[in-house]
Amino acid sequence: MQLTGPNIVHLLLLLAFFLLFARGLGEIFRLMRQPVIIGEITAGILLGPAIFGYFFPGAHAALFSSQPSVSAAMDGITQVGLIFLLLVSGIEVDLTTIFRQGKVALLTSVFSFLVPFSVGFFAGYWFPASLGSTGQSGNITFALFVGIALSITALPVVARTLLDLGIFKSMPGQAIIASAMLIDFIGWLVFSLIISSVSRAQSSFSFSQTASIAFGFVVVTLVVGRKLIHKALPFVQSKLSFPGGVLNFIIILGLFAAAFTEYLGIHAIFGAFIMGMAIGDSAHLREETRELIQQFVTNIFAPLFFISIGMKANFLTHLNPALVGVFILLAFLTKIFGSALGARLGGLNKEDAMIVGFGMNSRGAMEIILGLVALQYGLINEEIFVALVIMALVTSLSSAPFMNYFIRRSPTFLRPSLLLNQSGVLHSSESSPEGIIRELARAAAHHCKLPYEHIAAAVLKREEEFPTGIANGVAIPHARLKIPQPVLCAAIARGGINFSAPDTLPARLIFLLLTPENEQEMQLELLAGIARLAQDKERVEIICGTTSRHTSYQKIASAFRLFE
Amino acid sequence: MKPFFSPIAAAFTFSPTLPQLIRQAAKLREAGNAKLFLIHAGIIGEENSALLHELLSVNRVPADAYELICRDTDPASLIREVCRQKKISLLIIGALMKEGLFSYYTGTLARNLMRNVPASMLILSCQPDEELTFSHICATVDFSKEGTQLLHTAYDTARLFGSEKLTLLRELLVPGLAMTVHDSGSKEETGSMRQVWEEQERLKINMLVKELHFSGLPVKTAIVYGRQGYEAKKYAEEQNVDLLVVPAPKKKLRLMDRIFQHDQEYLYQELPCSLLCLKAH
Repeated sequence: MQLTGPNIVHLLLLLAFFLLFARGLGEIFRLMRQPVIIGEITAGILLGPAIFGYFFPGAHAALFSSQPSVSAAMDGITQVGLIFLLLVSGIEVDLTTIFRQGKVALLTSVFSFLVPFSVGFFAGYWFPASLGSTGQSGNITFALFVGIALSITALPVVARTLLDLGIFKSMPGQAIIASAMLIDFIGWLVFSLIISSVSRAQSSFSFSQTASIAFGFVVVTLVVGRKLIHKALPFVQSKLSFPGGVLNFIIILGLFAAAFTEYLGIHAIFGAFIMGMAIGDSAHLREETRELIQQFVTNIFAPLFFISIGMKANFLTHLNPALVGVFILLAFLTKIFGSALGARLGGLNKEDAMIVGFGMNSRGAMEIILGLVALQYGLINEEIFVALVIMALVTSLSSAPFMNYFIRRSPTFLRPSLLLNQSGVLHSSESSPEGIIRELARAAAHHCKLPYEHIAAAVLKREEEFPTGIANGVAIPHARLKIPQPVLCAAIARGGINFSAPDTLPARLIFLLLTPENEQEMQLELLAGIARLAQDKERVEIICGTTSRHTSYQKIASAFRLFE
Repeated sequence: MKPFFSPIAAAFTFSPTLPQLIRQAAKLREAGNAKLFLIHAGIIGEENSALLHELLSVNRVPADAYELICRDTDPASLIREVCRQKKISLLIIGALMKEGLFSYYTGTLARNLMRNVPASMLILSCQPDEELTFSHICATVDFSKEGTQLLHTAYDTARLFGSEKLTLLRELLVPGLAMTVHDSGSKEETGSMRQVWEEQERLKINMLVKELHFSGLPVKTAIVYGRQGYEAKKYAEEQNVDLLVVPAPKKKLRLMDRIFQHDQEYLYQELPCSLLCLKAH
């Protein structure tokens, strides 16, 4: 089969048109603050047999399926896109993060995987027909697939969500990232073995041979390969042209690994994923390089891949609402419960555990890739594929709102704007640090149920050790006490008070901060949050110019929110 | 200055770096008015014995202030036994800057001790004819109680050795950040997020330095984005740090930790300078 001149024109026009349409719709969804991937898949559905194919069947056939060589070329390009997507996913799996996060990540991963996997496996084993099994692959293989489909988490989607919610760096955020990395690794390993058992007919190896070689490939790549790549990267990044040299280095390694595992009958994506892990683990790999390769893959190959997903099946004729409902229900219940349980056992509080539960529920691109490969190998039919795609989109879209609900209620995400309330803001005519500290201690005593003399004594003792004036007329007298939650009060001192600030300015805006005894980092975070406000001289002046408690509180709270 | 390490042990061999080791041990012994235990796995002949006593005399270590423990046995076991029995708070030992590939995985004496610390350890890394001075000390920062204790010790050490500079280094890594460009993200966005986080860490360290109120010594702060251990090593090499103060591993480091390197393993593979590994109390 060779591409003729007209075929090449057809192929190039198809590529241009797909990119234009996918990216265009993706950008529209981005403007609506929705994941771009939904726009790209929607573009495929619109162009696919359900809409464009239904209303303009002749044009649809002429454009997309009239030339077998063009279809084959497109298939090849989308396969390469798929391999690259898994390569970059593997690059972001950081094994040391998993170790560092320790008990929380491990328990979250274990329960987040085992609970949905077990439920999915038993549902797939005992009710295969109800879940749409084609019967081609055998009950156990199908059951294993359903288990994996329910247990996967989409790392890129959840990373994006965490960043948008502003909790990426937090303990629950990093626990989600670490757990999702581990589940990625386990999930793709098991899935690849499933594929190898299904494609035994095309492979020259037996299942046990394939499993042994796959295991050996993982060990050699992650032990020896990693070290060699770690040694080679400094040379590649400094001596070869940047970024071309290192990008080619990564892609070449990924393609070789993909070819190897495809030859074994496992699937190329597994080789790409494991090689990605080996490359990404190197401390020499610059952050810039990671971002570049993500950009390269997600802006060119991902749209082509996801638009092809939308075109794969007729989303209207293969839509089975009952099946979609079952998958969504199973997905939500098992994943949220499993992840939250693991997080709770790992030591997180209830609210943070729920944040982890909903965060881990995002299925996104990974679920879709899983479904596509399973469809290609005849494990599932189009109805299940459509159900999985819809499930992936629903779980990804619903994560952020639910996570936000629990973030607002979690004691982990303490910010000055959330701690301060109107009753804790006062205007004072005191002229000494002792006087204002006592006045603020009286206000704080209402919130923390400690005698004000006790609070004042602790804060004054701290003040004696080292004065707490910072800059621009702001001071933050503070202390750590036996209290369960931090307390923040603020005073505006009309005449200004000498808190021995380095810039010698008298303090007119004084914050009293009380934090629990053993929470040093919490105290530093809150002090830093207030200090950021102090850096904005103009804003401090505006606050100090207010005369009513209500206005002062509003100005201070909005200033904090600006910097948070 | 607050009381320092007490008691102290120094594990030695009769190598060209012995004078350096005795000099630093004597200094630290004096600072804490501590008992010094000198540990040697092997028999000491007359000539070496005379050399040792001369070094101790030159460094003004009184006879009642030290105890020599010599036994012809496995060095690592002997050192661990002494540390346990005498409740040693600081062990001083010399080490090669870099091990060979094979010995990195099998472990030399110093590295084996570093991976399963019996006490806080001062690992001296220098050339035989090099005069060891600690004019630039760098301590890694974390905001826990143990981390604050480490900073106090680093400060006291800097004062003791007459250091010119103390740097507090914060390593910051947010894994998975590059992935956020995957869906509608941009390099500029992730870059600016990283800057925001670095600024937050800078403010936190500044607040911490205020709380610690170190005086009498220039204290600099630095934030580096990247992996813990790896970035500290790079920083120490680039900034000519003489002594790097880091927390000791919380649990024993095994072969898997060498295969899948993280944290202190980056430092142990190739020491950038002398190392003070502090064990939490």
